[in-house]
Amino acid sequence: MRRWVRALGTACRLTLTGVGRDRLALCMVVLFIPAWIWAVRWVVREAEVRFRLYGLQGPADGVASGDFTANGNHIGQIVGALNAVTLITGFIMLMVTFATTELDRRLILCGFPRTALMLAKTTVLLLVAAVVAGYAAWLLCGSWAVRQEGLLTVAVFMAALVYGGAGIMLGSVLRRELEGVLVVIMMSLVDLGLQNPIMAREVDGIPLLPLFGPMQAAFAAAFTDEVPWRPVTHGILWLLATTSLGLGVVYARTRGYPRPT
Amino acid sequence: MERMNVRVVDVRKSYGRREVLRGACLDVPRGTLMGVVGENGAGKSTLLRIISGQLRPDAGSVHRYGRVGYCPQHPVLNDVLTVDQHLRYFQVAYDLSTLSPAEELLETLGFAASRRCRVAELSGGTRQKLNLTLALMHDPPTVVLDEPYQGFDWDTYLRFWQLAERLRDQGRSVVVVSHLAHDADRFDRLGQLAGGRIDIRADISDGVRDGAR
Repeated sequence: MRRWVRALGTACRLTLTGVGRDRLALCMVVLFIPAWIWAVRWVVREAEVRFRLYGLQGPADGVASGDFTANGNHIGQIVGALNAVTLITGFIMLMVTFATTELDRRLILCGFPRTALMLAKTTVLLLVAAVVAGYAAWLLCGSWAVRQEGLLTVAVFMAALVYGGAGIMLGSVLRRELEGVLVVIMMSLVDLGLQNPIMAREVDGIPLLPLFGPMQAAFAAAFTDEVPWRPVTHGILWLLATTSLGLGVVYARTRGYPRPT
Repeated sequence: MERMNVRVVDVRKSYGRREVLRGACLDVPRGTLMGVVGENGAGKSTLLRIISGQLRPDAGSVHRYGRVGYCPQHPVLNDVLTVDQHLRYFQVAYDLSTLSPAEELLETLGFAASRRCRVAELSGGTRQKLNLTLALMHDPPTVVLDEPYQGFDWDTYLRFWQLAERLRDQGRSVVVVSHLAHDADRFDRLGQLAGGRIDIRADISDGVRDGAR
């Protein structure tokens, strides 16, 4: 047990060291997120936009149940922040997984506890997602009076986790970095594009998309005093699916390694 | 009777329809420096990966007595970590209480000054030295080395062979995949891999020349 804890500590520390040395990713976090939010704030119109929150009752002033309206500029800022956060977290975890996949397998072959390596990746994902999401939520809360700041932070955190989990999954499954980068970009584009109330009308099947839960929770946090539990659960399921698939691939590929004697 | 550190029995391995190993057998006794030669694509690296446990054979069996230290052909390292950080990772993997054996290897291979350098900053030869160090630092009874001296300068190449001979003299089994004809005299035994089988050559020099063609 003591050895396992030591292994987990070493793996977490060295994986985080790898993330910290990715200067471009750090610059993206510090500069790109505020730049993107402010650009949207300048460009997007402030017209009222209608959107639907699943599982919540809409206001009784003639608008259908579950339908809400809000400032389109604020909606644009939320979508922009989710876009930036998902891309950055997805890329960071994709690169971390790509850079370490072969070495991880060698370490496991040499006796490094497999579960410690896998848990270290998950821990780093949680830390990266917490920092990136906390920063983005703080910027949004400084932009206008968000109704539930805590829930907004949780929503952005969930979005970061879902795409970070996807980064781990893609880094484990795909053979080339470029493939992973393209998949993360396209996933985020399709996911947010189809659900952005400024662009899209309500479409059946949207609840299946990975960012359905985080986006619903973010809108509820920004414009209501309610907590939509169903979408939150939905986001957690996506996170579990992507992360466990990625880690499952690592497990499957190293399953047959002989135990050290 | 000779004590074997590794026994490979009737191993078969295919990649798709291409059968690389077709019933390969190999005994590696204690205290032996063994060479494995063969043409490109003959299955030398596949054989070593199977011996190390990284790859499963489709059929046949591998018996290992004690741990195996495996040095892959291409350095498997993380570019953003330093030499020291790699040593710490593998210290945990091998459950070593001290890094003294690894430090000794750094001195022997002549790259102790690079301990704080990131792998991305190292030359190809120094990466290969680290790759080799990670395979040997736990002093396993068997080491399998896949062309371990690629990129080494002449002095380091000679020091590598001194190290391999010292390990052999200490009772370790050392298996080296080689392409170089002038390595022939250094081996105690030589396995020529051809047609998916291993032929143990009596005349070592001829064997290497054949294999190095």
